[in-house]
Amino acid sequence: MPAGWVVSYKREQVVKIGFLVVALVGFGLASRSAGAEVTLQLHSPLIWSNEAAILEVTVKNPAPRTGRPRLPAVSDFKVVSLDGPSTQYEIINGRKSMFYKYHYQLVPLGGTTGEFTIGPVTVPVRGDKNLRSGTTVLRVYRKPKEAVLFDCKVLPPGGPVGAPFRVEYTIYFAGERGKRDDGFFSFGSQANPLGPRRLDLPILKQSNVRVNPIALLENVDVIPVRLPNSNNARVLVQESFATKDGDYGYKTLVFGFEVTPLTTGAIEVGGASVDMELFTGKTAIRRGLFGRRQEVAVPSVFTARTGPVTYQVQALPEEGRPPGFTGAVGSYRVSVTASPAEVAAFDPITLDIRVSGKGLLEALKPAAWSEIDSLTRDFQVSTDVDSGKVEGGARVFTQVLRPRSETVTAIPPVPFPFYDPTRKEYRVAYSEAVPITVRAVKTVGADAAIRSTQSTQRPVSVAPSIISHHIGIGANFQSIGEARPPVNPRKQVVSVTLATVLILPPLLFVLLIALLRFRGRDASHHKKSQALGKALAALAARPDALHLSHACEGYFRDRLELPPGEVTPVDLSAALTRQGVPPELQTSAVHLLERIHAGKFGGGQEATGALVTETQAALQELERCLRG
Amino acid sequence: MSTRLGGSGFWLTLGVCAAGLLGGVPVTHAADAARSAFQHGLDLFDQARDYAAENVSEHEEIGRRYGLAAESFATASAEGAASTEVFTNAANSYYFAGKLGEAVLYYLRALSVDPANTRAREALDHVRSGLPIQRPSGGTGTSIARSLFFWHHGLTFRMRLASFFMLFPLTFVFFAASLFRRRPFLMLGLFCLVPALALLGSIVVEAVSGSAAKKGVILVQVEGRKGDGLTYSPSHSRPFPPGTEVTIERSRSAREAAPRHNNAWVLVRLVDGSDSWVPERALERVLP
Repeated sequence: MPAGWVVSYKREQVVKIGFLVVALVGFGLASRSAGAEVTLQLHSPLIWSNEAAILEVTVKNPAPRTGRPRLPAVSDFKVVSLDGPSTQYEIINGRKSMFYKYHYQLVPLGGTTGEFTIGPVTVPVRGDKNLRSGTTVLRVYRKPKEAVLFDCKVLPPGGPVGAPFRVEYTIYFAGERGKRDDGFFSFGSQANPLGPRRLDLPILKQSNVRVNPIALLENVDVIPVRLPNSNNARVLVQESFATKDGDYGYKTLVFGFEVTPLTTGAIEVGGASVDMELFTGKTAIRRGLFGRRQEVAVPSVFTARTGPVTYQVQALPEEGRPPGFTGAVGSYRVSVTASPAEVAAFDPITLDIRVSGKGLLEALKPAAWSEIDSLTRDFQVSTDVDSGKVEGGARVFTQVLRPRSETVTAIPPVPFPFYDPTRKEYRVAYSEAVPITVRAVKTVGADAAIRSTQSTQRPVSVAPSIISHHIGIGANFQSIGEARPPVNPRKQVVSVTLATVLILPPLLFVLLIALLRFRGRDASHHKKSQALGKALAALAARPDALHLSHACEGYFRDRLELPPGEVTPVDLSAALTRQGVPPELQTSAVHLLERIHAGKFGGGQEATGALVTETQAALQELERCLRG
Repeated sequence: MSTRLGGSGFWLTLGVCAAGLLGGVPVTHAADAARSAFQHGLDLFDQARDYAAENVSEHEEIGRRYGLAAESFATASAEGAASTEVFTNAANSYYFAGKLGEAVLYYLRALSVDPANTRAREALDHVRSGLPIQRPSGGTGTSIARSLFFWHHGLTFRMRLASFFMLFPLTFVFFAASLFRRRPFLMLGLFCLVPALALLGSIVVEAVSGSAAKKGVILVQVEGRKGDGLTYSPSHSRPFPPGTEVTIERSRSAREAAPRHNNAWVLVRLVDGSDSWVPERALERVLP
């Protein structure tokens, strides 16, 4: 390793260490230069007479030789030092602060109650001026028996519709709140962190009000809690302390709502109830996670209910009601935009009227602008106004106006009348006037109209770009119609008519098939009976060899039920044997058939004539035999 | 004389008198009363409309006047004019009176009498579109099913029934003809049989599933509960507004209820398929 490099390395180290020392010294000086002070803080400024208060004494940026705080004696209290000092550091924006914290327990003696001033606390600093704190106040109340009380207040007791009022609920309880600890597997429990097992608030179920949760106490932490049995509504709960029934002190849970009534009449606010668990000293033996039996405190359930509290919603006063008022309550502003700004007389101008301010925007109805003289003097005001929509903190209504003449130069301020519950009077908000330009409408005489009609181009049929189907309330029927029973599908299906339609056609079809089958068997018999007549008729009609053969074979097929096709002498012999025909008659019939076949294929008209006669006689003989 | 009275003339005279006393006179009177109430309802409706045009801001009075017209139409229907026209007019009047529950009820009654009443159908669709509980639109599967079974969804029950009455016997006429001449009657019979069976299935499905006797409408805003009593927690996040259509699944009679609660509760199914218990007095059945 070269010597120069070692020298260079050592020099860098020295410079770095020097900077570090300077920084630490500077930081230490800075911290010493910050002002030291002593403060007092009670963990709870309100306690019961049978419990101790915890006082925290904090010495900020103590000097190196700072001693322990010295508490002045507090009459009727025993002061016990718990621990300290514990050291804390704080760095905010690069500024370091150090704290010494001491804790003391203040135990009321002999059930004392009242208001007590704690302090000032002195902290000795050797070689310097002692530090001195301010004072703090501790209130001690008598503890009532474990109980839960529930109270409800309405402020004010009545008011006009649309004017908000406050509902304040206070749960008073004395005792330690039970925790919904079901043991090792209680991680997923949705227990209310404040203690109430059940909180039922009827005001949250009223449909004719709008309810907003509010915090009632200033400078007190707010804990939002959802109520699963009240549509998951939210309440903002604050913890406090209050006296009731003399010097009895109760811990309290306070919450409230700002309620806006939408209809007139009485609103029942009371009837709220709460279930709370408090430890009353009751214990039970339970097995722990590893099977060990242990005695645990078991809370008891207390139920409290508020009395009946009614808020009377009054109707708005008739006196002083401005024209066009449609029930708006609150405090509103109105602005208007008009489109188009340049029109011919009697052409429509669409106004977008934006109403904003404090009040129930969603329940706001359009003012009756068609009843406002300042508008109707120069404009035709349509009575067809939409119900409006809420857009960005305002309710927007659309109103159509038509200027009556070209002399109109502006849309006058559009009024929006409302009832102001704060001032308890009707007021009217006005928009700015909107300048417009109205052109005169050119009027023509009858002649000009005719000429213009002649010169008019033929209209061009243009298909509409969009065909929309509108639904809505149709007109009334002008005729009374015909009274008919309602269509009840079940009745119609379970009916004789449907059963008839369902059963009768297949039944008739089956009957028809049966009939045809029956008639089919009869036809065979019929064919047999008609066989001889048919054959003789055929022989008489066409007495040639070919037709003789056909007639004779036809007779044998029909009468002896032979299959279709040519009848051979062998087939005939077998069939006649089956029918029990005497052998000599069989022989003559077979021989006759052979001769007919020979005549058919050999020709000869003379022979055919004799053969026909012989055949007729033979068939008649055979028929007699078969029938016999 | 007595012989003649005891003959056919006597019985004829007695029958005519009995018919007149028992049926004829009251029917005529009821028809007149219904017609009179209907005409009165039309007049009241026109008056309410004129009043509304002149006094836009008088919502309460406008509602009251339309309400009178609605009651007159309802009277006409109660007097025997239970026609789809009267029900529709009553529903229109209730709608303009701001009573959506009664409006929906009477539109449903109008459609129960005549499902082809497009005026009532469109108005009911319009009112339904403003209610918070909507029938689920369904996905692609539902859309495909609706396309495949178009006759079930697109035709009214009466039309399907009439078509079935025509097609089913015609099928067997063709089959019968096919016994004598196979072509083309057998094919025609099969062509008729397939749609006839499809229509029969559709009719039976509707009869089994959608009995109008179980339909009801909630007339007053009411909080649905998870059980048949106020002690049960609410079943839905908000109360049911008037006009909510329900199907009555099960009812608990007042006698079954605890003696101090003189209410009957019914288990209903909403159009979105969810169930809830509501007091029976809060709803009215479509078919009374």
